[in-house]
Amino acid sequence: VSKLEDRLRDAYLGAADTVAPDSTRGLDEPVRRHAGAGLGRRWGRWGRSVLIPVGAAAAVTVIVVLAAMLVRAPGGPGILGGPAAAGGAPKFLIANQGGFPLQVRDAATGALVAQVPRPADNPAPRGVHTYINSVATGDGVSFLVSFYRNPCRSWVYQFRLNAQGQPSALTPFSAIPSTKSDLYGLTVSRNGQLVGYSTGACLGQSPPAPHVLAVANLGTGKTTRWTMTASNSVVSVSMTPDGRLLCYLGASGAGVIPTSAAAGPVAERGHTVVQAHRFGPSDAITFAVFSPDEKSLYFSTYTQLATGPGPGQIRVEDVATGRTRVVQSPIGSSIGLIGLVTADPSARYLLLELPSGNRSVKLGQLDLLTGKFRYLPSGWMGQFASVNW
Amino acid sequence: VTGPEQAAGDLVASLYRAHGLALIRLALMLTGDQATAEDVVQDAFLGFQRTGAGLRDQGKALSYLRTSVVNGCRSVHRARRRTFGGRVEPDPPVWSAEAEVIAEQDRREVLAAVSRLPVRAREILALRYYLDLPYDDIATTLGVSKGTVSSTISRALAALSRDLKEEL
Repeated sequence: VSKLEDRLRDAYLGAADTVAPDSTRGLDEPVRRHAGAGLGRRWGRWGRSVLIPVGAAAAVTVIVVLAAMLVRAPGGPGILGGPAAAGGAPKFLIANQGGFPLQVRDAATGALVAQVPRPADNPAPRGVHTYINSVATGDGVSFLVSFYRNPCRSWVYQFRLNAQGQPSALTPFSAIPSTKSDLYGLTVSRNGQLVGYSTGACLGQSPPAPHVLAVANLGTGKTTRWTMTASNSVVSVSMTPDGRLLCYLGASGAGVIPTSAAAGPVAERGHTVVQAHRFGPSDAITFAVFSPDEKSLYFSTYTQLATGPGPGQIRVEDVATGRTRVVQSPIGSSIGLIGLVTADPSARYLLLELPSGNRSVKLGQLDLLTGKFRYLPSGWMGQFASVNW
Repeated sequence: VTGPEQAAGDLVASLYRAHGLALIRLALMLTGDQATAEDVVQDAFLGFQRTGAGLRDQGKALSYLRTSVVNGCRSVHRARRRTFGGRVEPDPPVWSAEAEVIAEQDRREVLAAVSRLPVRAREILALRYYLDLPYDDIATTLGVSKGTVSSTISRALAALSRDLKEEL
């Protein structure tokens, strides 16, 4: 490789870095200005046809965490171990706007408590933007974060929060080495022994890697992988608190696969639990999470109307009987898509991102035990790539 | 929205989440300004969803989008010449000192030298040295032979070497 080629690569990376993730508009936003033949305004079209899928895609970066805030199992590597969070809704939320720093926010007030900068020891070249793919916690105290940079490299790091919400430094999570793929969908079992995740193809990867579900067993050091069919992708992943089941949300609906299953195709090792079209030909699911007792599957659906996103609902299915009921609809004053959704480690409190007019959003909290919903403080209004608690 | 249309929308959203930014950055290399780059990429995704090309294969979908973006950038160049006629200038390219977005002078000089190359050479260099695509993929993206890719890179590097007074 010549010095000229090095200069070329460096110059391209410098130019690429001028485009920050939060500076680009989404597919549903209008063209800013006329740029040439055939490039007209298309707000309406994208607003109708892509807004909802984009919302669903946003949920890709949101990890539904199931690990309960119970006493952790003794022994074992327990690298995700830490003091169990107190009862009630989580004290802190982790938000990000597509890249570092992560934001630690007070869940009650929305105030910014601390920030988690990009790890100093990460080998990604300086000046190359890294994208936060997912954040997950088993106890509300110890967190995993996966991030990605072009061309085609993902890392998983870990950090902890102290009682005041101040983070420790990010350190590499050795159980999941850096990988040449797009790694997201981190999820952690209650005892911190199992870490689930998904990987997909990178831009320009040839041949493209299929989407893969994986579970790393920190006790045995073994990682089991299941491969999705070529036409199917993984939107989100969650694990039951005991680590027995891995729940995945694909394009057509939510499925489940036992974490003890042998490696192989997802189509053979798992099965679909809920299909979106059950609720209507234009309905889709944006997240799915098991209750701690694994008897119920909570999920969010929305209906695509000609005028835009229809009402969002939180539904729950009795896994044994297959019966489904609506838990909450509509939520608060929201009439549109329920965007980002995450469950707290106890799987009791759902964190919802709700449209609020004028293209702004609000965050709300739904208590699945009492059915009570409340908006989080107005200071939460804003756009996040993902929010977790 | 029917099932297949929904699946298409989901795939479009998924692809945009995973690759939209990188495609915008690729378009930036070829057009010089972010707003135009975003227009081109948005147009590519719109076309992708409309035609449904490659919907069942993520790899083909990506390849389709990459080709659409490169072609879209080429159309922008043509449209600028035809529509603006020099009367309305686009935003200054990011590699210009006027734009003040790339601080390092060396990077600006290199990108400015690249911008003086023929369009095809600029496309191939961006695919090769920004996306790190192998020659085969570049050939597929641009619809040319692998030999054309190789020879174009050689000629482009030679031209840059002269322009930047850098030995190959």
